[in-house]
Amino acid sequence: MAAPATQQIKIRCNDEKEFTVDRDVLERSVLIKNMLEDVTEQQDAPIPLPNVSGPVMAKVLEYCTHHRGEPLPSADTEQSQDETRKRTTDISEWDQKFITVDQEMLFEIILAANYLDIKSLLDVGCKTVANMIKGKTPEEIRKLFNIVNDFTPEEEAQIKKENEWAEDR
Amino acid sequence: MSTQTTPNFPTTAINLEEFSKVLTELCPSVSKQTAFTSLGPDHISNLPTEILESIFSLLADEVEGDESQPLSHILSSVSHHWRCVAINLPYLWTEIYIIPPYSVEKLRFYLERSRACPIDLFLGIPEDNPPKKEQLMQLLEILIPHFSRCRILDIASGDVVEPLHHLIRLLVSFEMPELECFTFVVEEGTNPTSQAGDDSLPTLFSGHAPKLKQVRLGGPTITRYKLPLTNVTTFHLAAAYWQIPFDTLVSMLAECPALQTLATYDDVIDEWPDQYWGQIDLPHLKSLQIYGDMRHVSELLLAIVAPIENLTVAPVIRDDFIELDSWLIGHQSNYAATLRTLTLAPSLKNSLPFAASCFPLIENLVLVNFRPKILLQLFIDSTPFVWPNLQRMSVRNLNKAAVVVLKTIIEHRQYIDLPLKKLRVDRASWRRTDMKWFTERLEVEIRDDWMVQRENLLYRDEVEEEDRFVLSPNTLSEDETTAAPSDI
Repeated sequence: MAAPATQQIKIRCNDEKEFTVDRDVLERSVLIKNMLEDVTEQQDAPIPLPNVSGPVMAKVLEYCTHHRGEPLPSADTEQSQDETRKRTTDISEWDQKFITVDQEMLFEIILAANYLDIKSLLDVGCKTVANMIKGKTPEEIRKLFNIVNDFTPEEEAQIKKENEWAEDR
Repeated sequence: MSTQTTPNFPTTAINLEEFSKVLTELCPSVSKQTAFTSLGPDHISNLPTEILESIFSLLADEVEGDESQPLSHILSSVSHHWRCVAINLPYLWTEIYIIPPYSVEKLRFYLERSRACPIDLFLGIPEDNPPKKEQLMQLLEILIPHFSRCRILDIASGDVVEPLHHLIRLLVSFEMPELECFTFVVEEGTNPTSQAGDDSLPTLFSGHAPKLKQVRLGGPTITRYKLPLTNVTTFHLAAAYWQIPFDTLVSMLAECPALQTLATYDDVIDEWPDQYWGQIDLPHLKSLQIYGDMRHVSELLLAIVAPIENLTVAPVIRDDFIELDSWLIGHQSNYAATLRTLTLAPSLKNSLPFAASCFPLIENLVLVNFRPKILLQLFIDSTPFVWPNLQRMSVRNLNKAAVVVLKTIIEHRQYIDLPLKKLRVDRASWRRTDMKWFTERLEVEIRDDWMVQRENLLYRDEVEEEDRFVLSPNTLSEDETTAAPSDI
């Protein structure tokens, strides 16, 4: 007997780009999972995702497809993990390769993971940014992320004073 | 006409709503709704504040404390936005170093920004740059209301003890419900008249530190007080111009029924009685670590009755195990049957055969320093063959001679049908050695076991101290450190 066909779901991004995806892949997103659970009748109309563009969604789907079938983190397990040990910024090899993208795409993926409520992808994104920051000085961080130094000279002097005890060491 | 005033620069924790207000006042064109998402042309500023907080939180978990460049300092010095996010994260401000130049103002803002979070307090008083008494008293006055928040209390000083006596007298009357780790190393030159173990001594923290798991002590000051040791699992005792009588040690350890790790530094135990065998019963002790110039290694090992799984002796010299070896020969005992891992820093010739004889059943050998000649003699020339159960060796700082000898040992173990299964090497050795030969013969892992263990030691940052435990090549003669090809 043939295995039951996987339900296919259509989604539409903010640039009108549409994807037809297996339901279990899409359900890595808690947002979409909840939406699908709330809809009792089969709908042909695509689910609109106004906060995600097509290219970003393609990356997100690549991640979800790779991790399909893995257990979703529950609130309970997350809490107990936080209590028992500190988190690390270790990233698995596949995830590391997946997230090796330009900064614009990296932050778009993080925003999409946050909006779609895909905790594990959000973690990978945050860990990647944390690893980029690690070991850098404020000036190096500004340069890396193109952040404008918006402190006035007086404010800079105040910050410097705050940290003199450390810098004098 | 209304007078417009510039909002104050945030120097302390404010809530995000306040921050948004301040920001809107600073940049009127930025609406409140988009204040957190459109601060600049950079992509990272598009992240919602809670995601930036999450990234900072990951960094706080991961980055090791560094008093010279605290994470809180770095993150709060990037931009206004980052500063406001950082200042609103109390756990970024929980690692507090009270070190020269001592600053009341800085202590205040760290305490304020850490809000109600448990704090890690490091008080350092170097002998060459001590604070004035009034200065230290002022700092202590500020600290008093926050003692109950201490998770780590780490006090280190040279022979500058008067203000510290005041501090420790204060600590007698404060409960420490959050305290997990207490380190007190004061190199005081005078010995106390009373000693720990004496029931009449005052107890620190009003006897209430239910979370206290790790205690590291050095110097005699602390022996004028008792500590609540009931739940302590890790106990380090360092000499620092001080020795503790054996009976006092027995009393102290009797108060640590949960002890799992005991570390001693130098000749910290004195006044050994004639009968010391089996005097210290530690039913949960798994790791015993003996560092530095300890003259009574065998005695300590014979005094402790415990299911020890890991033993460290660094450095190890020939005399360390002689008495234990004689005792074992006389008693036919199943001594150290639980011991699986032996960590040694071999120093002189013949320092290892006694170790092999006393602990024949080990499965893992960690060599803090690699002495080719000594190892060659032990592994190749000894009969019967040493350590028949040995599965894994951890080595570090390999030079060319060491690699040649290591290969010889591995081949020999294969030849006698007692093959090693796993080799751990430090990253530097891995890089400078062609490891292909090794990976073809056994599982090789990059891991410096000694460095991992060293992370938890007193004096872990001091190279000279480590040299004392390891006896680095600089402290040895040439023939101890190298083996000529003809030796092999």
